[in-house]
Amino acid sequence: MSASAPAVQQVGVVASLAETDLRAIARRLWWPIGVGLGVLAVVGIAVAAAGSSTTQDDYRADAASLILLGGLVIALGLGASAFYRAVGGGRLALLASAGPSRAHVAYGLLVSRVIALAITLGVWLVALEVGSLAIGEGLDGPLAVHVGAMFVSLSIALLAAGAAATSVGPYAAAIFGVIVYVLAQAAVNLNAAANDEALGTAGGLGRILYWIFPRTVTSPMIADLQARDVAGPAAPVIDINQNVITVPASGLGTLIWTLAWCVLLVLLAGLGLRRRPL
Amino acid sequence: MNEPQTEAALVAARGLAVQFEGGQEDAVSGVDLELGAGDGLVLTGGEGSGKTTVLRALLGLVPATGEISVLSRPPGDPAALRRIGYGPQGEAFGRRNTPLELTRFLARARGAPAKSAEDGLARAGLAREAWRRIVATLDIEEVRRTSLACAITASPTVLVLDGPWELTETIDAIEATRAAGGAVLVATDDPGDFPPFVGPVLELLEGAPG
Repeated sequence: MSASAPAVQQVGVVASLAETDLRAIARRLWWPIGVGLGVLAVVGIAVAAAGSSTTQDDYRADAASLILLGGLVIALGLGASAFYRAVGGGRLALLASAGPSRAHVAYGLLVSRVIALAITLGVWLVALEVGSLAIGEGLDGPLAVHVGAMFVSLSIALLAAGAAATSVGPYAAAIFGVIVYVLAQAAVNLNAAANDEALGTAGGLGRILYWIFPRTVTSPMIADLQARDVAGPAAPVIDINQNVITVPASGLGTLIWTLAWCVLLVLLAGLGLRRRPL
Repeated sequence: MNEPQTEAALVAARGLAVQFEGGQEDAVSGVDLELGAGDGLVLTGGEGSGKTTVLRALLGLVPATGEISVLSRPPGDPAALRRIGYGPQGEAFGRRNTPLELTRFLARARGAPAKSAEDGLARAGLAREAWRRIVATLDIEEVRRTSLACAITASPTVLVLDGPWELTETIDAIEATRAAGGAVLVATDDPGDFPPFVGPVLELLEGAPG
């Protein structure tokens, strides 16, 4: 047997666990209902934008609001519910009794939920592209890129809630996920403000936080909408000390930084579950 | 702590104790047991007496103190766990998965071929039409058969059954495991007809041997 065989086997067990959990998630009513409500919202967004004089901007702004607010609710629900019922009902005990380490159980359950988030956003993106075609705007590439950026950003909220859920109840875990997401957005905004020299002597602190906290990923589409003050609730204009702050689109560095934080949160979840009685 | 007691013992514990989560008091204390090849033990006692806690301690699912070894490894050791079959109590252990999904995962985790998942379900006597229905929709007997299937999938060396029903298939699985040189632990409120097929009875009263 090759030396890599155990590692391959462990990856296979984590994948099998994720598949088993994903099937269970699909049977929880709130998730498919949430996905369906998002699709219904797209219909409303398309109808509203079709009657507007600024069709594309309105459509993109409302779509961004759906992706942010609806996506955050789904992400937090998926992350915060990862472990609580499974521990209480003996499900994790059964899964862990067959040999995977606690960390691998945590990885499997979080991977399945990140996949569920990807499916959610994927379904909404398909609906949004169909809506864009229906209102005569054609396929919307920048919107697709935005959904991809939001998938990475929302994964931070999901994984933070999931990591917390190894140690606290689901409501506390969801609140922690919100806090981490807000901090991630604040880090990006404060760095932009520091770059615009709007923070004065506190600019250095803004940059330090930027290099400590996780960050949300800003898409070119939302940066453009925000710069023109037409982004709506998804990216309102930032005014610090009466200076309007322009948040630029994220580069590759921020994407890698955010993905690294995702990995760190998954590892923390593994550590959290190691200490928990099942 | 957690050193193997006897090389020949498949399951051994001396002074096994588990504290209540976040508390100072013992949920279980002073439990001694030793099972060699072909041995079995029935753990019995009223609700809350600590039967399930002892099983979970042996599986490494809850932190425990004392000298404990399972298959010559400390509790919770992944290599040992792959040779242990655990059938959980209750109905909530896999409500939104089907029996086939659960046993397929367990077969994979125990390093057994995929076919052993279906073999486990068949040996547990679960009707084939129930294999692809989620556990939440099964009746209580089908759930207990699903639990048994989870335990016997991949023919483990040590069988750990929590709250099993006295079904023909349960007795068959116990006898087959013992005949193959394995060990069997059964936790139940009422020993009923299990002792002749399993072995001696250890009664727990409020977490300690009675």
